[in-house]
Amino acid sequence: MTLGVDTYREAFESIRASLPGERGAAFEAFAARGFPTNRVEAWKYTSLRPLARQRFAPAAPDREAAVPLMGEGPRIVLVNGFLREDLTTVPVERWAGPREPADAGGEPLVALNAAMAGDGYVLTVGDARDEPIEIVHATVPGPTGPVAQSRNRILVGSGGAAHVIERHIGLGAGAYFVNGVTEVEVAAGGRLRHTKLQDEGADAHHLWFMPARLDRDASLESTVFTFGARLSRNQIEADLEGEGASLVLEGAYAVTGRQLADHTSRIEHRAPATTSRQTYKGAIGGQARGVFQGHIVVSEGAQKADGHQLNRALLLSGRAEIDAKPVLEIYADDVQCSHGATAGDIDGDALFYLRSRGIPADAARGLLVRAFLAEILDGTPEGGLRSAVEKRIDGFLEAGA
Amino acid sequence: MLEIRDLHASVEGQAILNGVDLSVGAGEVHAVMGPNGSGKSTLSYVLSGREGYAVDRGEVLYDGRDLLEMEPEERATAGLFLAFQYPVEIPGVGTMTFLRTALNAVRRSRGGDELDAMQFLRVVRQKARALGIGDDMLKRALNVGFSGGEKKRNEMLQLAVLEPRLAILDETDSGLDIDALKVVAEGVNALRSPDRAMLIITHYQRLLDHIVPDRVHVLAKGRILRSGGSELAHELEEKGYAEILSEAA
Amino acid sequence: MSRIAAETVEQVRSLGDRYKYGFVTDIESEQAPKGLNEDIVRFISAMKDEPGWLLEWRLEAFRHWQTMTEPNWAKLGIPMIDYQDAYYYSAPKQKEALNSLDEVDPELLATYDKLGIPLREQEMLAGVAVDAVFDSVSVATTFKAKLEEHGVIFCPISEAVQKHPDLVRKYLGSVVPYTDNFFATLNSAVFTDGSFVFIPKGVRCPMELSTYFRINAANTGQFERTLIIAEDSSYVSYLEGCTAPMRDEHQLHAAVVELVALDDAEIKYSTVQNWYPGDENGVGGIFNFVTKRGACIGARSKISWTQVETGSAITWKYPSCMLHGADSVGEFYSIAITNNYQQADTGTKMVHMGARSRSRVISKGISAGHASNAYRGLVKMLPGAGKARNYTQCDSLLIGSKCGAHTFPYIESQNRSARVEHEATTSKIDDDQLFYCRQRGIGEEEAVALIVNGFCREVLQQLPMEFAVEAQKLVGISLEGSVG
Repeated sequence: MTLGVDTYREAFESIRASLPGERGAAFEAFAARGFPTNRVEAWKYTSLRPLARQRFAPAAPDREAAVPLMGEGPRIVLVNGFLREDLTTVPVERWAGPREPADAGGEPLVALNAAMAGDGYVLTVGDARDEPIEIVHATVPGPTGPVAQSRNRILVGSGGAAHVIERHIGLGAGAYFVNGVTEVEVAAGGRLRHTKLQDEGADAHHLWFMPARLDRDASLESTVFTFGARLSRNQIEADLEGEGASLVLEGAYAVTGRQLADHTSRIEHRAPATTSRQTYKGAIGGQARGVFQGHIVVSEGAQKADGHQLNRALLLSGRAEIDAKPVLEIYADDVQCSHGATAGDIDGDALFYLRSRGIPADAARGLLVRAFLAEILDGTPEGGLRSAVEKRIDGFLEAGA
Repeated sequence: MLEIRDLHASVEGQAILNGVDLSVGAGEVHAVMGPNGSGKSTLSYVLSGREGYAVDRGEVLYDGRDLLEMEPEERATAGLFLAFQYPVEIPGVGTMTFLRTALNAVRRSRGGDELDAMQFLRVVRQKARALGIGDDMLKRALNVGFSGGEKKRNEMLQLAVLEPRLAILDETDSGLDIDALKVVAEGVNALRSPDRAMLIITHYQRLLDHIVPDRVHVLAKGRILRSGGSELAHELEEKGYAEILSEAA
Repeated sequence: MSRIAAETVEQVRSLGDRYKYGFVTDIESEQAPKGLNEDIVRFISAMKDEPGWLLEWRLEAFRHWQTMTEPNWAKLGIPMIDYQDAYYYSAPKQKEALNSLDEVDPELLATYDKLGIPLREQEMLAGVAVDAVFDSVSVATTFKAKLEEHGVIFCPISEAVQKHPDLVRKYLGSVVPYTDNFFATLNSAVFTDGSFVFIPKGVRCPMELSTYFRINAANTGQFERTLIIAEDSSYVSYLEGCTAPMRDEHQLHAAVVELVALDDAEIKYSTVQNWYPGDENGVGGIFNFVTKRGACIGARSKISWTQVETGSAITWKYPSCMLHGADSVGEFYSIAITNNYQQADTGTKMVHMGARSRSRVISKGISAGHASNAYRGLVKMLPGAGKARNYTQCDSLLIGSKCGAHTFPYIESQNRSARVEHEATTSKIDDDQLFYCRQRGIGEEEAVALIVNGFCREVLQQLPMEFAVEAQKLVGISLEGSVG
């Protein structure tokens, strides 16, 4: 039987009439497969079984909740997956329902999002913007453990260049489930810098999909910081469709307790001279698990493709676990591709060196964990985002990892 | 021995050589000097047949044969040797294995016998010693992990072992300290002979203090702008290339 | 595509004509009827005069097999195999029992001469003891007497079933249970022969042991089963070579190899696999679906797999190490060369259970023509594997723009003090290296062979000398065919 279909059909039918656009086909695309189980290769290490069994009521718009902001700059604010126009300062359009069948995507959960998302921003970047745009996705937990599903889109035109910061937070304690999508399209020569800070509540489930298409000489740099949620997955599927397109993906995560943090990417080099770089680093404590799946495909004819990925995990406790699957799938010969993966504890020699200089063990470990994650953080400019990330790393270390 | 006539060549559609004329006779040592980007390395690659260098016009005769028609390995077995500016690293392939494969290919093409392992070892050891190359360097994979100086010395060893008729030395002096430079120069001088010609490509005059050329040519903007005796090198060292470039302009 | 690459593709394409082991030996053979059912399993067991427990084991395996479906997860396009359209037993007809090599069918011996294994000459040469498996039956084992002096048992597994039933019963299926996977289960039901090796406590096997496998009869599947047991503080180096004649139809080879290493024991297992790869259009060739697994049961035990895979239309094999013992060591060194329409999906599993266990994986894949070459591997650190170490390096080399090279590593660590390092690269044969060689007078095809051999050097070094030379030539041959 397909997992989770019955509960979500009920939920879908209850809100169907209120949703813009035609949703039937998208829901059936989800229903045909349901929540993926571990038998689906792409979900081998992240089980959604417990999540699928829980009942979540579709989240309703909340027009009252106060949303903490990071800075005073331009912003877009969504609460429970619905745009808060009163808090949004950037002109955006709103998502008006799926364009069949493209929006259903390959993932059942993206199809579920296409069926049930009630709102979302569509941001068009036509020229170069200096100031970063802060985008807040806030969710209010509730007794029904609401599921928030927004569908967002960032379109960068040929002359466009922007930095967007997507922050994911929970407003108060309690359970909720976020199943969101941010689609990205970068036209020829356009540039997008994207930073995501996933700082959901401790009892949240967070699944976020980012399909991206890059045209000729387009560039996308996306950095994700993952700290929150009981279970989270950040999944990027990037198609480098135009010659010379370039993609940089980075991620840093620090998880503990019983958290699971999954970072999955699939990059298709479909045109010549496309490049991709991926670096993911994670610190895993408690009984937490880290999952990294990175898949580079170089299509036939995509000569001079250059794709590299690196995943490094620090296991900070005896019950922490990392599962990594870095895949290369190459159908062109004139390519340079590589991947590297390491897993292990903090370097004992380095720890000893610091301690021999009088630094207490805990502080020394903290220093080394910070140093380990610093490579990803270093690219982040000083300011609200950076201090928010640093604060979360401090919190992680204080909790004793 | 080598006749270059009105040679035009380009890389990825960009013209680099714009009508080079140069004639090198047997027994002669010629130096080609020029500023960066003048086309010096392009000239050496065109002569040795590297892919990606298109000849747009002109001809090159080597002992009366059309050099440009020949495959790279044909040129090599016919006696043309290029000492690379940046010798290539080939992991897993032993220096000795490589030398022996090359030497036997050259000997076969000249109708000679292949050397057996013992003969080969003797030849290489003796020539290596003269260049200050120890056994441990010979045991390593070709150029892998070699310092810049070691790579250049390894090129000289190959030159000595393969005994070519026309040797092109592309910036052999770059990356060498003064002692290594002397060792290399001695090696090259030892190979000077009436039936062997050399083309020394260099940016600086210092190598030419040790290997005194018969003729010096200034290559700039893809053409030979001036030719003269070895004194021309000293003149360039003093005045730089600017004067010649402005004369030509 | 560069001109060089185009020419190399051409030269590799012509390899089909160059398969020098593609002769058929004309000897009569006894075959069981085509097809697979319980009666065939009983027939095989009866032909071997096997004890009841073994027949039962086979039947259980067969019944289990009937509930299974072919795996489809490997990155292979497998044409459907009709398991009912093959012979499961084919023995060269010969006298009942062999007293000496002189009684072996001279045609058979001539075949092995062609393969480069002059059995008789083996006795002159110090070093290698040979067991030769022809189609399904082991035909001769040399050096028996000398090995027996040291207490080493090296014989066909069918003979071991008769003479050493306790050992076989204790260890058969102990590393690869009959339920393991589709092909291993099939093998358990119908295996016909293979080699058995037992090295007693404290013995260092005085010579390399070697088995040559050859498939000769048409429409025959070959299902050999090899079992090697190294008792405490013993050592053995075992070599395996494989060839098959050129035939239009696909033939199935589904072998199982089980290795058991007790305390301080070491097993070195080397394979040069050169089954018929099919022609340049992908017609014919062996389907090589092999399950190889070693259990490092004992403390400080070591199992080292080295393989050179150049043959077969399809190869599907993952020689693995189950590292139970504290301080045990697993190694996997692999070269896989595919060209024309060959497909290879190979790799290893290193499962670390013992404290301070170590593993090293070096894989070199070379893909040319329209071929596909995949590394698939698992490194798993279980909670008990404190301070365990793994290092993995997978490199792929592509020759021509129509081939594919893929890497699918799975890394799972549940132990903080365990360290896992994985690196992989994919690139084409380097134009600068080719030009450098050619500038020194080395012809293009020789240069390709030189560079590829250099690329594979770390693995070739692991092979025993006589195999290394053969393997190096094989690398050259598979890239021969030359430049226009």
